Amino acid sequence: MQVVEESSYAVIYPTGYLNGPTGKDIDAQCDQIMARGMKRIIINFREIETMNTVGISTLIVILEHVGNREGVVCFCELLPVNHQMLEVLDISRAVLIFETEDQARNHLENL
Amino acid sequence: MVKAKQSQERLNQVKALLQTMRGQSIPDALMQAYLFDEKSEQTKTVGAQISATVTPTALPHCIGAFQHTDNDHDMRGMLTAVGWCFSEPGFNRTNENIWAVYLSDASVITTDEIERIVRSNQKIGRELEVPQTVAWLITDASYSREASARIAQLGIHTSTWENVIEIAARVLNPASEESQSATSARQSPTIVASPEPKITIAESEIITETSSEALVEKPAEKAMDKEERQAVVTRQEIDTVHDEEVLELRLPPLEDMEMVAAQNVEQLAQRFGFDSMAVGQIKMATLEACLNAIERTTNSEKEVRVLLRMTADRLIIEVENEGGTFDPQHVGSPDVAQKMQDSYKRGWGLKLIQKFMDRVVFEPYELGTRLRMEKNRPSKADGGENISAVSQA
Repeated sequence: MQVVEESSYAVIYPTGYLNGPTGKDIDAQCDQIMARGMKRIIINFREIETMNTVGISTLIVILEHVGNREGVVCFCELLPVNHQMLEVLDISRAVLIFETEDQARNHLENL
Repeated sequence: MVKAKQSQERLNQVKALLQTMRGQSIPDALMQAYLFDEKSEQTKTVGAQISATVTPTALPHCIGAFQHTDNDHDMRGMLTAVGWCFSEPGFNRTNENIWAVYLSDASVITTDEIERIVRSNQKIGRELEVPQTVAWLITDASYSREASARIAQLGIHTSTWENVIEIAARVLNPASEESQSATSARQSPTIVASPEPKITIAESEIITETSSEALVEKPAEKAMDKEERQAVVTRQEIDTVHDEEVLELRLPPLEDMEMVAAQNVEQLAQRFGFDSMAVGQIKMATLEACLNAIERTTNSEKEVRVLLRMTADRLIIEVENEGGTFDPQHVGSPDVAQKMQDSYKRGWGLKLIQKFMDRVVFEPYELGTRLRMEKNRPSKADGGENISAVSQA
């Protein structure tokens, strides 16, 4: 998956089907980013068409890992049904979700 | 009336044949009937020019077939079956294609029939959103010179009914000397080499009970270990009585098989007028149900059965798995704050299904557990934008 690093944050672009293995890959990317000292991460879901709850569970792991290292992670560009999944499961309470990447970038730049 | 019944029976047999196609090889002469039209003087000449060696044609990997009804006056007199296929196993979008099979009772195939087939193929491809379509014309008619030229130009497969019987025999019984020698005697030029097709026996029942001339026998069950097993998914259109459309899938308990069920139900839901959000909800609920069922199926030889039924007022999805039981009463409602502290982060599937579907019922049956989910069909007055309220059985 593609990762773009800016001065104060990184953007991860996962692709395909968000299942357990994909989620673990995202978690591994977050670990590497934070190991390089960057604590603000955007995950852009525009290339994720389908997610299952195993994949969503790994997103919770990511939130926990990043939070434990005093980092910040936010999501953006979720497909409507995927956004709705996170809402009905109340996971949207635990993470900021933005409609566009620009909105997410603005938020992190102003932290 | 008798002819119409025979045509319908043949179409049912063609659907059954499509569902046994798993990339087997057949002599391409069996799909080039227009070159061997004995009734036509012109094609005899063409036939004589064919090389003495006939190369094999690879059949597709078909995971489902159904009758296509086109109310367009254009397709009068031609029954159509559609096979959802892949040129390679693996369900990759890039090798996805549709085989549209046309049964014609015309006495002569002219360019009119060919152009109708071309238009129909394009329409089917657009409707199913699959760009690659293959046309297969099955008829005992003769071919006009112009039609033959057009068929050659377009690469349309053509078979007589006798060819189709031959194909079915080869698909199910590759080592049959009788089938190979029968082909050699009938066809000109002589088929020199026909590699033994690799057979994967579909573990499904072929439902053609009304057919008196069954092409495809019920295959014997064959034990396959996990390494030999292909990701075979069989899909059957069971019945269309009582204004219901029914589709059955049998999924092997392999990784990502839940996506196959999800894609099938997505197409069905779109066909029946659900809006994009409802389609997404139905797809996700089905995916979760199948994922759970696959994980609970501990025996790799057991399949997860998915039944999709569209009635007048609702879409019903039933997911059955053998060997595993599931009691939803023992599953609490997960909370994200709690999960952040827990070591076990999973357990979201049931909540999602209950949120996205209108009715959810778990019931044990003699072999395992059946999950039944329902989504009300949108009415014309309903914009269909609502997240349906949950009712848990």
